[in-house]
Amino acid sequence: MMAEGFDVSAAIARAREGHEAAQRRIYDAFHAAAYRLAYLLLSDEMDAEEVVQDAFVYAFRNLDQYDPDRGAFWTWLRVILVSRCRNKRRGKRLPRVSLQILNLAGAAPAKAKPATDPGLALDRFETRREVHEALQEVSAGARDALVLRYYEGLAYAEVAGIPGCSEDAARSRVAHGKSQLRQLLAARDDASAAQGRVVRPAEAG
Amino acid sequence: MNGKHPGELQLARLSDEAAVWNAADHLGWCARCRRILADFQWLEGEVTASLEAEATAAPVPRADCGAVSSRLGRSAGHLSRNRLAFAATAALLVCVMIAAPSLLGRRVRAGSLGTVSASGVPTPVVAASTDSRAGDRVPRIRVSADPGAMVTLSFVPPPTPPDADA
Repeated sequence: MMAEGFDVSAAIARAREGHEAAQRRIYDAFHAAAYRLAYLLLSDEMDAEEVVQDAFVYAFRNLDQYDPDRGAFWTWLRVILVSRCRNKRRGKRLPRVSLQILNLAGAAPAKAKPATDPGLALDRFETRREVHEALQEVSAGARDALVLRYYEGLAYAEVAGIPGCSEDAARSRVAHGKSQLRQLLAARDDASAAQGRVVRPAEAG
Repeated sequence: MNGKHPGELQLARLSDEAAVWNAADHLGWCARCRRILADFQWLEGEVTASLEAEATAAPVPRADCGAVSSRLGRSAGHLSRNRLAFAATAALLVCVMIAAPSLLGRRVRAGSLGTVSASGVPTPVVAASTDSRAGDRVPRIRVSADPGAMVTLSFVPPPTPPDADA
């Protein structure tokens, strides 16, 4: 998903020897992906930046522990990053995401088809906003599982490997996350029913 | 035909991985469960799109490895300082361990010349005299004992006052 165009393993070998340029190349290659994942897990820019820095410092200090035979560098770094995010979040209440981000998120959907009808576009925007807000209210463990499963696109075995739980537990966390989301959205639907707005296509069809 | 509705969590898992629960029979006739399943399938797409949009819109800061490098450098410097301090302490300890026995040994030998060892059974004092000569500032007490004369002290009754009648 990242780090295309340069030999990661060669850079890692040189970084192990303490070459600062190699460390910089690795950092440049993985920084954006690491930041985005941390941001999704923490919903805070400053925290995400701090955690990413911590994760890279830890990774560079412990490069000897990275075994290329066991997986890609990003897989290893992701485990460190998610663990750091958990530590950061522990005992800290998550702040809400700014409206600017919400607007950007609604204005630039990654997979949705461009809507030509303004009414449909508005509905889609509202739906996306509601899903986004509901995602902020899902429990931390379930959100982590949803992010790893649907944003990172990991298989359940990989999701399970990050917090070190069983595959079945990972499945349960994702299912719980989806169930929580559905209930939250249903509650929002009930609240907006007075306005006569249909939010979810599944209910319409 | 399976008449029992599956739980919501079962449907949530089913929407993601069909192998988990074989519900084809039930879903064939149960519109309610089909609707919930459709909800979850729709939700998966929305969650993916929402997370991707959020990640894309996230204000990624400029990749600056300087902070990481400086932290790594600081930690390396800190580590080398710690190692240096440890080595210095160890060297000092070794020096002390080598030097201490020779210094202490000299003192012990010097002190042992003037010491008197006291041993044996106490002997009864047979004579004591003070000797204050003209030249001595401090009178000396001489105690001499006869090691052969081990005298057992007999019981001496305490003096009683004289009888008033006598």
